[in-house]
Amino acid sequence: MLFRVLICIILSLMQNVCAKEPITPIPLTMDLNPDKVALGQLLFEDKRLSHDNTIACVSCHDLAKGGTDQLSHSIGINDTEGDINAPTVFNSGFNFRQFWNGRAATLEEQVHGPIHHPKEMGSHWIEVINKLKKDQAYLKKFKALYPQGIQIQNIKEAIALYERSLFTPNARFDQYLRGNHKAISSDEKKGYTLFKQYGCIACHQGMNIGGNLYQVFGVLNNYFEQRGNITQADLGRFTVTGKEYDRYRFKVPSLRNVEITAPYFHDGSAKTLKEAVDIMAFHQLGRTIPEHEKQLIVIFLKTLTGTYQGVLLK
Amino acid sequence: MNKIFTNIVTVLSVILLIFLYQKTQLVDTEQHNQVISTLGTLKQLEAVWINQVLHSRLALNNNYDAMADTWITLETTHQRWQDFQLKRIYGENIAHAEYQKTAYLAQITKRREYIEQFKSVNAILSNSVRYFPTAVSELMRLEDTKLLVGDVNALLSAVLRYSLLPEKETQIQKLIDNLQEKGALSEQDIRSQINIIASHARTILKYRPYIDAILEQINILSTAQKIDLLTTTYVNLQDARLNESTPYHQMLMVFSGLLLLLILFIAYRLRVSYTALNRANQQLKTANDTLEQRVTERTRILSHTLEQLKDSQMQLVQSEKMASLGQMVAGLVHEINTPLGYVKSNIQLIQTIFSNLKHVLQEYRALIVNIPDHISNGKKLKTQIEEFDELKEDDSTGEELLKDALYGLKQIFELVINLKNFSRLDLSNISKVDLHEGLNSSLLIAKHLFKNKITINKQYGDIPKVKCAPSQINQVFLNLLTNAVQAIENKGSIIITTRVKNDHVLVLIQDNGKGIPKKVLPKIFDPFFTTKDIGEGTGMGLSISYKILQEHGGNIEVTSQEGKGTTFTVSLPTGI
Repeated sequence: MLFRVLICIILSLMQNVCAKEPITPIPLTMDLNPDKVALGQLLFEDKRLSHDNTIACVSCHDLAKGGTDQLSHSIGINDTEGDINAPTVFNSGFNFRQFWNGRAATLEEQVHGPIHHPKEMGSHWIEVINKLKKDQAYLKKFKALYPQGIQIQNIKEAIALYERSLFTPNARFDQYLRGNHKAISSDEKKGYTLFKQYGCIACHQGMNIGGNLYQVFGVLNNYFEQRGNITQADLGRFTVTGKEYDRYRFKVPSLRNVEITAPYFHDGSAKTLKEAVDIMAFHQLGRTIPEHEKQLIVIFLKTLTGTYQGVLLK
Repeated sequence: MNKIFTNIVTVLSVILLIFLYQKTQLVDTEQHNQVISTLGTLKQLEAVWINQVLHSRLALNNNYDAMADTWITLETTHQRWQDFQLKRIYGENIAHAEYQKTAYLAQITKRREYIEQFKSVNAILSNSVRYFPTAVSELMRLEDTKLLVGDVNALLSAVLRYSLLPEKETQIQKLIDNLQEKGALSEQDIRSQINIIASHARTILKYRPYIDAILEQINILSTAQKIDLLTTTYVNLQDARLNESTPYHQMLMVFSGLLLLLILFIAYRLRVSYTALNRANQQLKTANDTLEQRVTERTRILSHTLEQLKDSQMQLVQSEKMASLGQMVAGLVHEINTPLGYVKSNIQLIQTIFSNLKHVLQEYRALIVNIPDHISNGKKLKTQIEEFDELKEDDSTGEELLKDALYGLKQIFELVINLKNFSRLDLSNISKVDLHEGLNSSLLIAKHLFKNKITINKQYGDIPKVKCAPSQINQVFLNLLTNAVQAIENKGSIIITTRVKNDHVLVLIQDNGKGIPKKVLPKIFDPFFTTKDIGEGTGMGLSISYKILQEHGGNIEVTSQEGKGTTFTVSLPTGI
């Protein structure tokens, strides 16, 4: 008797789950100060933000490459290979924290990181501001938007605002979520169902399909032991909190535009979506997914590619 | 000195006002309310947050966006709290509040860590719980698993129960071990599926208590009480501040009231001053406007005065002349009077003698007839008597001559008497005067002017004596009579009328002469105005007359019609 009651409860709960999709579409528009966004873009694309004027933000977050550099590890100044895979800048404004280990609470806070990282831009604020202040165009533009002129806070704000403007609405899946059932094919729908059934949805949910919680990489099967060669970057959130609990714990990445942001994971180890799905299924879900189902999940994932300024990303 | 005092008082007032104002500004109710409201928001947000956690636990929430958003809102709210200048709002004594705040922030940070853990663990647990029945049915679908049905179902029901309610783990552990033991001899695919089931069952076993522990921690770390304490602390701080500032508040009220009164008083004073100033300005303006007019007026008055002065001077000269004339006349009259007296009596005596002589001569004539010529002296006598007869014929003539002489003397007497009157009146200043007497003497003096052409018609009324300077009044009459005579070219008449009108005596001197032209009429009383040839008239007569009457409180008026005549009316008050 009790068993049946429980089943009923569980079924009703599942019903509840089914009634409301765990993924929500990206808003079609955002209200951002266009002048500040434009200034932010200039800064985002300005190599003077790096020590030797070789690297700009855009160097590793190329909009033509899905907001990434499509490398396992980014290349910083002096051709130094970085420690970690560059996450996409697209939709980063919807993430609850920034960086793989979530060490920055906001995009503004995040700006500080790459500029100062010796393997990335290797610079510091004084250097950056001195360079920018020599540029009359910047002086003028900052003065027009910020009474205090060129200041750390204002640079951060402008860049962050530009990054927030890099959102990708109107993915085919979003169109489906908005009620256009023809926006995705039946196979893609099957893929979505499998995505939910296998439990991917447990972490990859919300507007950004991820990006709103931390999770251990290797819940059911230890990923790092199998991969070997553990680096500092693999420790994840542990490097921020120092708590054993946070070892190998990362911010769950967004699956938005996942089709064009290979290679995957913080270490850039998965070159294809199929590989990534395999790794996730085994280490996070403790399962192996049959080939044809994996295929369906992958084609579902490809419906998550959105548009930037009205153009579908490639 | 007064000014320095005022300045000092003003400065002190301002300083006091600022001091009191600052003291009362200690209490920033608005900011305090915002702090309290911020705390309220925090409490509410946390309640929402925890609600979202529980919803996720029961799979009522199928994503963590809302939870993440709530945290962002919470952080923003924390930032707002941090941005409050609490020392400014509550004073320096906020160490306790700051301590409580730090404790709260530490606690909520900890709580948040647990919530992040919850999110991770909940994802894993819910995934396993959700997958577990599927895993079991997947096993059942495989061949040769009938033997396992009982164990698997026992495990399934135990795990599902366990996922929601606290159960003994050891029993489930046994069930897992049991299943794995039974399946150990099975096919590879059965074993691996059993392993998956076991793995998920262990995951549930591991994470279910874990998530309970996390939820308990989240519960324990409830910050509601801390927020309440903080609210109380802030309210107490605020109350303390209020108590501190109340007397200053009252003082400020009183002081402000006083200042207001002072300002009102000053405003009133200013207004009064302003009005006065305005009026003065107005007057000044008016004065400026009329200045020219007034200058003209004044000039006119001055020139008039100058003329009057000239008149007076002329009059003075004239009256001096008249006075001298009066004295001379008086002396002359006296000198004439004496010989005149005895001439008159001598002539009267001669008249008597002449009458007697006439009588004797008649007697002689009668006698002489009888006297012969031969008588020696008879003829001679006769001749003499005849000569007397001639005289006899001229008897009347002789008498007439004497009569004429007497009449002439009488006339001289009258003239002398009049002259005497004239001069006498001149000497006596003011006395009660019978104007008729004055008129008469004037007429007498002017008589020589009348000749045969003018008849005088006196229509004297019954008038009282008038107090006046007779010499001057006589001069007026003489003047008027002279003018009247001169106005009459051929024959004419002058009518002199006297009467009383109200309290004035009127003397009208009316002629039927040529009249005065209208153009000239207004000027006739002006000094030196004359129509006569040079040397004939001074032009002073009427002006002096006018002046004299003015001084007597009387008046002289003229009406004239050209060709018909002129009437001068002299009026003198009876009262003087």
